[in-house]
Amino acid sequence: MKKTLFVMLALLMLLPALTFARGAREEIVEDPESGSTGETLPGVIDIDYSEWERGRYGGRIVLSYLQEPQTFNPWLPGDDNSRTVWTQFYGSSISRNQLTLEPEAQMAESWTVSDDETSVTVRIKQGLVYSDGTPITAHDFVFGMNHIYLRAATGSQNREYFYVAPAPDEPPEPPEVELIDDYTYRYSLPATYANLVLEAGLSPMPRHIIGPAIGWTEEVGYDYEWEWGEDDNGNPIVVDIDDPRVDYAAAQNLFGVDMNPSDYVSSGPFTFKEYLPGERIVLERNPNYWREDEWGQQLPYLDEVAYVIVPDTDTTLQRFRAGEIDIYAMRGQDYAELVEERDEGNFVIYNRGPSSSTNFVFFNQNPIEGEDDGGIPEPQVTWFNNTTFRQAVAQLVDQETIINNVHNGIALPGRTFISPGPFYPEDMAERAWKYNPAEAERLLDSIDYIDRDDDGWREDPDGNKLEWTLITNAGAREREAMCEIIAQDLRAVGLDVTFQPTAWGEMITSLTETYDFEMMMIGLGGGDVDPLASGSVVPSNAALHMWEPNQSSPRREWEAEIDRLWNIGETTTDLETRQDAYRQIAYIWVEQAPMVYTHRPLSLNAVSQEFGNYKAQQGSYDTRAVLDRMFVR
Amino acid sequence: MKLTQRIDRRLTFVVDVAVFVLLLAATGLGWFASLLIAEGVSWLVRLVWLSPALLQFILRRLVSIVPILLIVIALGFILVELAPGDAFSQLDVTPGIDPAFVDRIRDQFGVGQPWHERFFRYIWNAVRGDFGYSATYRTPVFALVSQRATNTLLLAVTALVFAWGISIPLGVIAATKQYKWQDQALSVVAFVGLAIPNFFLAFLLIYLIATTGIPLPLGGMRSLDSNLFGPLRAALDIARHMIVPVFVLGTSAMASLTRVMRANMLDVLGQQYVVTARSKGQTERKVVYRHALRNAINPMITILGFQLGAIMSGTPLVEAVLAWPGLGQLILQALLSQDTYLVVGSLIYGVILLMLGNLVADIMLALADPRIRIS
Repeated sequence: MKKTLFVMLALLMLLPALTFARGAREEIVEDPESGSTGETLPGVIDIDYSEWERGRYGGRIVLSYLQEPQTFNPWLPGDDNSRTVWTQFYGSSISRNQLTLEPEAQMAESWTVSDDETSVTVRIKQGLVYSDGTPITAHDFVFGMNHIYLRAATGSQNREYFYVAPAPDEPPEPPEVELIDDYTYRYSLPATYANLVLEAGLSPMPRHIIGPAIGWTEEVGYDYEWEWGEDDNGNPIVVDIDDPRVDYAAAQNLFGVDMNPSDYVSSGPFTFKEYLPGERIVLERNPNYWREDEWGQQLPYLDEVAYVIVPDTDTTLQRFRAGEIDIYAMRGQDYAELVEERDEGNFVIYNRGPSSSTNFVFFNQNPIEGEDDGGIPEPQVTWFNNTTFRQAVAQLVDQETIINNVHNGIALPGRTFISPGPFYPEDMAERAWKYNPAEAERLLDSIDYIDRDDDGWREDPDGNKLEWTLITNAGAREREAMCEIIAQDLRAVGLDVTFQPTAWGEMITSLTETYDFEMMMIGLGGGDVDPLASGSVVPSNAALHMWEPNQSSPRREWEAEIDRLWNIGETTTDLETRQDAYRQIAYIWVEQAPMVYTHRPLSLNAVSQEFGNYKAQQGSYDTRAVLDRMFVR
Repeated sequence: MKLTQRIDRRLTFVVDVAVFVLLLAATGLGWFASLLIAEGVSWLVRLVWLSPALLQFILRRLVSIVPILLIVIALGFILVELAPGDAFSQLDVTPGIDPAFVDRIRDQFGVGQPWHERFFRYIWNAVRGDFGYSATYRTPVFALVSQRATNTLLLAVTALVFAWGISIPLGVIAATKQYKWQDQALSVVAFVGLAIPNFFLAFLLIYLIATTGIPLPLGGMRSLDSNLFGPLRAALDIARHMIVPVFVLGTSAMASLTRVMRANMLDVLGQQYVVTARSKGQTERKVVYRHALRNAINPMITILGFQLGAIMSGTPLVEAVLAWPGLGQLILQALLSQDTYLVVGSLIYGVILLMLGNLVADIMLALADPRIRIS
C-alpha cells in the first residue's frame, strides 16, 4: 500500500507539469508573408529605420528570457531561445544591414562575385581580434566551415543547409571553401545560387579554442574533402572524409550549458560573463568588438546585457511594469492595458510590423499507395485534391473575425508564404481569397458537392457525406480558438467538420511519418525577407511540403510549375527575375490554395523610455541584432 | 563491540568534516547538499555506538528504496514512451534542418530503440554513477539535476518549517478556544488557504507587489548584482527572495496542518489523563502545554514525510510563476521535450527525497514518543 502511495505521489508531481503544457510548443511555426503594416494602432510608434542615433557609453539592459537555454553552441540544435545568447558572440563577414536589410560587408572589407556567379571571394578586415586578444584571420572563417559546419560528426545541424545542387535533377553538393591568404577566403558553389553572397558571409570560429579540444592542429590543414556514398535506400549522400587525427565528435561537448563562461571567446558585441541556471545569463561588452558607430565611437554602448529567466509570461509583464525588465514582447491581450499605462510607466510601444511567422490550415492530399505508404484513403483524398473544393474552403476562413476575436486586432490577414519585404507581391491583398460564404457555396454546388438526402450536410457525387476532422496542437489556445471559428463556418455551409485538439507529438508524427490526418492547423516560423527560407516547404520534394511531402517528382501539374519557378528564383542573383518568379509562385499558391493562411501577428514591443536605438526588425534582425547599438539616454 | 569500545565515538566528528570537504571538492555538489549528505553519513556511523537497532532499521529502509526506484524509473521510461513523438520531434518541423541530420541525432541518443532495452542499459549505467545525457541540454543529467535540486530543497524545507512553526500554535489555539471566535476565524483562514491554488496565490502576490510598490522582489532567487555582495548580504538577499515563495507554499500546507493539529489536540484534551491533570489542580497552561501538546504532536510528525512530498509537488508551478531556479522548471521542460533521461533523473531525485523524508519522520517519531521503540 505504501509503495503504491509513493508511486502515486511521484506521479502527482508530474501532473501539474502535464496540465501546464499548453502552448509551449506553439512556435514551430516557419516563415513568410503579408503586406504593409496597414494603419497604425493608436499609441503605437512605427519604428523609424532611416538612421541610428548617436549613443552614450554605460549602463545595463535587462531582458526577459522564457526558458532555460539548451546550449551555447552555435552548430548544435538548440531553440531560438538558445540562439539569443550565442548570437552575441559571433560576428559575420557579410550579413544584412540592420536598417536597410541589404547585404553589407561586416567583418569583411569587401567581396567580389565571380563572373559566372558561382563563387565569392571575401576579403577580411585586418586587425580584427577576439575578446581574448587573439587575432581573427581568414583561417578562422575557413576552419569553422570546413572543420565544424560541414562535418556530420560534429553534430552540425546546418550541414545539409549549405548544399546546392549543380542541376535541378542532381543531388546537392557541399560548397568549397578555400583559404587564399591570411585575409582572404573563397566560397564556391557547384551552380549559381540566389543567396550566394549571404551564404558566403561566414562567422569566425575560434580555432585556438576549438582546435585543441578536438585534436585539430595546423598540420591537419584547412581543407574539407568528401565523396559520394549511399544511404539505406540507395540514394547518393555526401560522406565526409575525416582526418583520423581529429576527433570531430568531441566538438559536440563544446560550449554546453555547463561550460565556464570565461572559456568563451567572442567576435561579437558581447562576451559571456555569468550563467546561473534558472536565474540569469549576463553578458558584458566585448572590449575588442570591431564595429564603430558613424561618429567613430567603438560599439557596443552598453556595459552589460542581463537576461533574467522568467518562465511565466504574466510574471514577465508584472516585472516589466515594475521596471525590473526593460523590453516586453506584447501579446495581443496586453495592448489595451499597456497603451493606457505608457506615459506613467515611462515606456514606449514600438511596432516592428507583421511577424515573419505564418499560421494556416491545410488539407492532406497524400494518397495511400502500397501497404507501407502513409496517406489518407478515398473518398477524402479525392475531395482534398479537388482545387475547386479547396478554393471554396479558402473562402470560408474568416480572417477578420479571427483577427478581432482571437488576436485583439493585433494582427494582419495572412495571405502567402512570402515575408513582407522586396519579394512580397504588391497586389497580394487583392488576389488573396477573402471570406465569402455565398461564393463558397456556389463553388461547392458547381462541383456537385450538394446535400442529397436533406440531412443538412453535403455529399459528394458518390453519396459520401463530406465530413472530416480538423486538428491542431492541444493547449495552443489561440490556435484552438481559430479552429473553432473555422469549423463553425464550414459547418454553416454543410461541411461536417469536427475540431479535435491533438497532442503536439501525435500531430507531428501524423504530419511527418504516417500522413494520416485530414485537415490541420499549424504555423511556421523562422521566415526571412528572402523567400529562400521557405525552401523546406514550397518545392514538392521538400520535407515540410505538408500536403504531400518528399515527392520524388511533382505529382500535380501546378506543383511542377511551382518547382520550375522555384528553381529559377533559386539559381539567379538577379533581383527582378527572382521577384517575378516568386510573384508567380504566390499567384499559383493562392489559386490552388494548398495552405490557407489565417493571420500574421503584429510584433509590438514595450520598451523602457530610457533606451535609444531600438530599431529591431523581424526574425534574426529582432532585439538581438540591435543590442550593440542600444544605449541608455 | 570491542571495536566500538576501543574507539571514542567523539572521534567520529572528524568524519563529518572529512566527508563534507571530500564531497564539496570531489563531486561539485553545492555546499548545502554536501552538508546534508555529510551529516547523514556521519550520523549513520555514530549510530553504531548510539543505537545499533535504529541503525539496522535505517539500513533496512534504505535497501527497500531500491525496488521502488526501479519501478519509478521504469514508469518514467514508459511515460515518455507512451507519449507520441520523441525528444527530436521538434526538429522534424524546423525549416532548414535536413531529415538526415535528425536521423543521425536520433541514432546518437538511441531514441529509436525499444524502451526496455534502454531501460536495462540505463540501470546498468546508473549503478556505475552515469545517469545519462540530456537530449535537449547535451549535458550530464546528474549535473543538471543537482544544480537545481539544492534550490528546490531549500525552498521546500523552509516552507515546511514555516508551515509547522505556525500551524502547531494555531492548532492549539483553535482547539483550546473551540467554537469561540478565534477558532472560527482560524477555520475560515484555513479553508481559504486550502481553496486557493498555489500558483494563483503566487500570481496574486506578484500583482499586489507590482502595483503597491511593496519593496519585495518579483520572483527570482538573487538580485542582479548579487555577485558583488558579501556572504551575509548574499544570504539576506536570498532570504528576501524566499519570502513570497515560502509564504505561498507554506500557507497551503499550513491550512491543512492547522486542521489536523486542532483535531489531535481536541482528541487529547478529552482524554482521562488530562482530566486527571486538571483535577490535580494544575494550571490550564501546564495541562495544555506539558501534557496535551506532547501527545497531540505525534500524528503531526507521522505526516511530515508526506507533507514534504506534497510541498515538493506544489513547487513546479510556484517555481514557474516566481522564476525560482528549482527542479520543477527542469522537470516541466524535460517532460515537454520528452527528454527521457532528464525526466527519469528528476524522478529518482524526487523519490529518494520522499523516502528520506519519511525515514526522518519515523526516526523523529521514535525519538519523540516513548511508546514507540524501534527494534
